[in-house]
Amino acid sequence: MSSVLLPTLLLVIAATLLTLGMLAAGMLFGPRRTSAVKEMPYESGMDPIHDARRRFDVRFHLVAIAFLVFDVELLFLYPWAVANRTWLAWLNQANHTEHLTAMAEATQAVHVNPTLVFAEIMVFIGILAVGYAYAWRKGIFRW
Amino acid sequence: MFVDSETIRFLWPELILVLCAAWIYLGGTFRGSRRWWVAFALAAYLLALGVILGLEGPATTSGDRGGLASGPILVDQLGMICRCFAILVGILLTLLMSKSTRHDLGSEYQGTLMLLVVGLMLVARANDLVLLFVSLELISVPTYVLLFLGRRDRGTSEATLKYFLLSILSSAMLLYGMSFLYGLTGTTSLRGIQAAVSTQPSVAALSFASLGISPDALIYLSLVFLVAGLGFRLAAVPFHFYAPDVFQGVTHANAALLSVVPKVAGLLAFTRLVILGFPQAASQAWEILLVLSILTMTLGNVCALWQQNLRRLLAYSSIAHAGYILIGITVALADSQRAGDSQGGVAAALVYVVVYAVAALGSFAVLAYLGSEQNEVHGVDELAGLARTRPFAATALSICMFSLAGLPPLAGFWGKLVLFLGAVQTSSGGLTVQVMQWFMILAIAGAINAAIGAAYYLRVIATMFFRAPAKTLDAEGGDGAAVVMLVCASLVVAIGLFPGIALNLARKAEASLRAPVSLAAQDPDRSQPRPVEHAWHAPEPPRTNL
Amino acid sequence: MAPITVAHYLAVGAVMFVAGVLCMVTKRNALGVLMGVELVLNGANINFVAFGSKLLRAESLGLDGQFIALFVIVLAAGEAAVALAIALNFYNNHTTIDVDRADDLKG
Repeated sequence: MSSVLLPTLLLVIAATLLTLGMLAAGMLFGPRRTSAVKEMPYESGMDPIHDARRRFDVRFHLVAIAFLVFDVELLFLYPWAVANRTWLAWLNQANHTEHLTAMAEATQAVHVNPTLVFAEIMVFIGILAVGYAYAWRKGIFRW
Repeated sequence: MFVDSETIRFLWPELILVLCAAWIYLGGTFRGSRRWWVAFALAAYLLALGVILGLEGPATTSGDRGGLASGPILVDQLGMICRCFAILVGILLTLLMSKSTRHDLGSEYQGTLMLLVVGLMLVARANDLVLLFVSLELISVPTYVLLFLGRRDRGTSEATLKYFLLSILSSAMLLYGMSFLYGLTGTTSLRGIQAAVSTQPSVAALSFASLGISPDALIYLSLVFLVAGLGFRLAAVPFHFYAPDVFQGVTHANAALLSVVPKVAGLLAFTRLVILGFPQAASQAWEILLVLSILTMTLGNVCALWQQNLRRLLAYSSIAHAGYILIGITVALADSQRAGDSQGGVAAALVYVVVYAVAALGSFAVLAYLGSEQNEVHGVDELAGLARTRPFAATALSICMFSLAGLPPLAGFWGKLVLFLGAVQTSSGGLTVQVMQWFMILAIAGAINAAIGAAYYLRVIATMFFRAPAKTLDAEGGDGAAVVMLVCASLVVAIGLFPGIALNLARKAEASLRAPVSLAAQDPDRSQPRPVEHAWHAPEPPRTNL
Repeated sequence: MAPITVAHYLAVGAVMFVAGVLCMVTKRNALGVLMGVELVLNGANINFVAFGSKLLRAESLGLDGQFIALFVIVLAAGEAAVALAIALNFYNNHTTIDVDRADDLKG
């Protein structure tokens, strides 16, 4: 049981140390100049004290939508990247010739074309780029 | 599901349209001319149609083979015909919307419409749950955007919100139903599901039984959810509530889109998913759908009788026609229970949906043509005396409405005839006495409804021909709408005069639906079927410890 | 303790589905209804992943179920984007996003 949880424990320890280290480094080495504005709680550059049901500028909404869409589209890249990495790992194992031949046979059996796999994801990214260019041209990022 | 370069080869028309849509979005930010983008979109549709007919036509129409399964798509007659029809719908809607949009949003409108047409083309040939769901959503999401872009006033925003919320709920129900289908069969391929559910008891069924879950219960659960999800798209009772409100709130062009595209997509999904996917539950399925069919046509026709708003009237008419389409699906489901000749339920439903789509598009095109951007035609009374003031438009509207009412010799008559004949044949060659009675009731209900339906179409036509003109309508809907109404009226007459061509195409499509499917293989030396799923996992990669 | 089976996952999925539908029916705020939509879609997602898992079929790789889940997540995000635009448009016309106020269209 302990061996299963060990990586998780290590991750927790590393994360704690990193966070504390960054805070400590900021306190030790950072310059400290205070002003009235800097003393305010951080609220994305807005006045922090006001009615909680205040309205936001509608341009936040456009950026939020653009972010939402592009953020989630990246989900498709993860399985692709993992699968692709497996292929590359196989290719790099030049000493494991039996794996290479097995993979070559598998490739023949289902006609996997590595170029096609790569091209597909490039087309996907290209379509995302079209969306980005459209948003840009429409002036979403202009404030 | 496995995509390879052969699959891409079959997808060229869709890819062309997607790329053109991307270019329209991007190019529209540089060049605002609405007219130019309409012309560009028309050229793109024609190019895609040319690719379908020129490159793929010879490959799939030769002989009466069942078709090819390549990755998530199925290349067969049904898909072929429906894709051509999708492109025709796209061309007509492009023309219809050419003037009904705000000038600065012309390119967005055309690009979104093109994506929607691609969705319809993909539904027509989906052979996989994933692709089927995604392509249905590729229809729904652009529909929301188009409704939203059409106009920005109170009524439209309300209609869009209503349509969106109900549509997404129906999509979720469809997805939930699909999940049980996947669980029972362990595959997402539609043909695989069909093969798996007909071998009883399947491995999955056994493992479910060991969990204390009855596999039959899961099949019925799945069936109910699928019927609910797809019933919304057909606008069948009890999932019809949105239709009158939404139709009333949106523009004529968008109402035309809503009455045609989801219906075609819903019918195709019904055909591929429900009729083929539930051989065991077919008797329950046709009982549910028979009742829904009778309820849908009766409610649609009766409610349409006292509508004064033209778009509400056509919305109820759209509900009623969903009921007629369900007759075809019911007949097909009852057919799938026994071996032997098919009664042509799917073919009849296909012919009917095409005939309905053309007539509905024509009717909305006339209404769009008669109005202008400021003054839309709303009430039936506004059409008074149209035969004298605008004889051309009045004739086109009469032809379309006569066809919707099912008067011979127009297209709608043949559509209704084949549907009712299918029901009568099923009742005469039925399985049991009870089945015979039910299908007799269905046929009689259809005939009575055709008579009720004729009443309100004739009321509109009588208003146009026998009442004194109150005011002259603007008729500033644009040349595009005029062309659409001309094309639709001629198509209605042409199909009415030569029904054999449409019927034969539909029969071929139905035959391809049940025919065995071969896996796509280009070179002849790979003759034995290769394992489609997960084959490349056969050599397990060396596991690295993470 | 009884071992975890697919049935347990199906129960979670069903609860999420029903909770989402109830949320869509009872919430008056359009954004609340949208949260219901997410619950409903993810309830179906849980089913797909559970049905693909090795709990049901030992030989299964479960990739198909996870693929559908992936596509649905992305679709839900795209639909949320469209929904926010629709809700904003509704607000511009009605100065509220209370869906009960959508009652202009009647026949």
